[in-house]
Amino acid sequence: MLREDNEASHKKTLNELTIVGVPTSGSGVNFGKIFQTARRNFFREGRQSFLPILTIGTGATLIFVTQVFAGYLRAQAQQIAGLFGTGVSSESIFSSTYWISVIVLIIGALEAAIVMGRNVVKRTREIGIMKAVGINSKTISALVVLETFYYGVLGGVVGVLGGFVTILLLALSQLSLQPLFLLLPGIPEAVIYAFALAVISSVVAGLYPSYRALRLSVLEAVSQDV
Amino acid sequence: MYDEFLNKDNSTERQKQSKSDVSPEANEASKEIVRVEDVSKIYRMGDQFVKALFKVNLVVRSGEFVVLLGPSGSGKSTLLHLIGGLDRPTRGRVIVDGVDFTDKPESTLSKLRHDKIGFVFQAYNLIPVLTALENVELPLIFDPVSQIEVQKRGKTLLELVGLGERLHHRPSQLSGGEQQRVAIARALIVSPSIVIADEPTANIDTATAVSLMELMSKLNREHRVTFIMASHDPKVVGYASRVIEMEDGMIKGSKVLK
Repeated sequence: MLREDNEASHKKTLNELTIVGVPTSGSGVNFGKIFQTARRNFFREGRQSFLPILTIGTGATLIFVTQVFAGYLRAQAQQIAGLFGTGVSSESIFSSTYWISVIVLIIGALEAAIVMGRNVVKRTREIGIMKAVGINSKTISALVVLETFYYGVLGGVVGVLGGFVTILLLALSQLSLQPLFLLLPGIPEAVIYAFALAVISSVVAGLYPSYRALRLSVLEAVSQDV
Repeated sequence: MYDEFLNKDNSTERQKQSKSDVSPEANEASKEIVRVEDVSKIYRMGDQFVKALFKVNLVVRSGEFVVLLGPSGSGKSTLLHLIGGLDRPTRGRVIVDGVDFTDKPESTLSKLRHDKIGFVFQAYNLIPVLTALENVELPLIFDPVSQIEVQKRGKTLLELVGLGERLHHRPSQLSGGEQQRVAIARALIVSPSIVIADEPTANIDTATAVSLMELMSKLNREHRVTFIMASHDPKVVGYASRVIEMEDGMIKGSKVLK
């Protein structure tokens, strides 16, 4: 009888403590919350985020301008080739500009990777705590990749805006906006290229820091000296 | 790799082999939460092997408040890490709430920690940039559940541990005792089968330690939260339902108090 009473009171107190709607063994993840947390973590880092964003943005601007002026560059190259002989082709000028843009973008992505790698080391304890309380390692890795993804998104935005400004300045430098209208058809493609490459480079950059976060030993992380 | 090391000095160890410690008969009606079977843990440090635990047996039932008492290096923390799924044994089995996770991958251990275990660490281990409430919500932050419900539960738990007025304070704005209360609330948010507390009073002053122990004791008595706690402070014994003495990686003795 006493045991039955104890069991009943046990169930009652546990139920009181268990608020309905919070499963203790749920499966799956809330992707919206992962995005939200990644965004918050990204902005938390503040000033150190500027350099990778700026470099990725510069690369994206160059890609944007190169795309828009591709036809123009080709025409110019033909003229230059006419002046200097057959040593310079239109394709070589176009691809050189393009590759310079890609190299700048890679440098930006490397900066993002270094900043994120440093963040993972700095936040070793935090990642360890998250793992200790049962947040899946893959979720934490996704969080790191997403944080780096924000470098790409903001770098892409900076790049596209920078591209528009550059084209506008180039058009104005000829004292007429008329050439700008000739360039308009190439702009949508340029926006897509610049933005997509900025984002892709940042996601690739996030893979190594995310791997480091994945491999981090929970026990070592939580046992670190404060 | 560790077989040779484990078997090498069996003859000398046999005499002082770890006593098995099963739950008291009085508690037989309660559900078995933890079963540790012949668990050994060997660490390799360079060319040396260090025996952290040797053939430990232990059963903890629901509603118990078990204190592992012993000096530094006696294996208390190692045993808690194994029970909590933070580490794997070199030999033996660890079963928590019916789940044998001895040879399971990290993802299983992670799920076990999420669903069944609450942790309270010596160094509080709160995330400094999050508020008390956000720290409490952390284990459920990415779960596909209503964030409003999670927040409601977090607030209830912080009120339960006496921090209803400090919900939006960051750890740096809280005292050591308050931070540890936040850690206790965080441990309880998933309705764990067991709360593992590794020297929770080691970093706080005596008066705060007493109030923290009283809180844990109250949670155990009134809400039937099962605790297993490591400490080297004999003063915590008064709050335990069972005390297990550890020495040199083995269980030296056990005493049922309540």
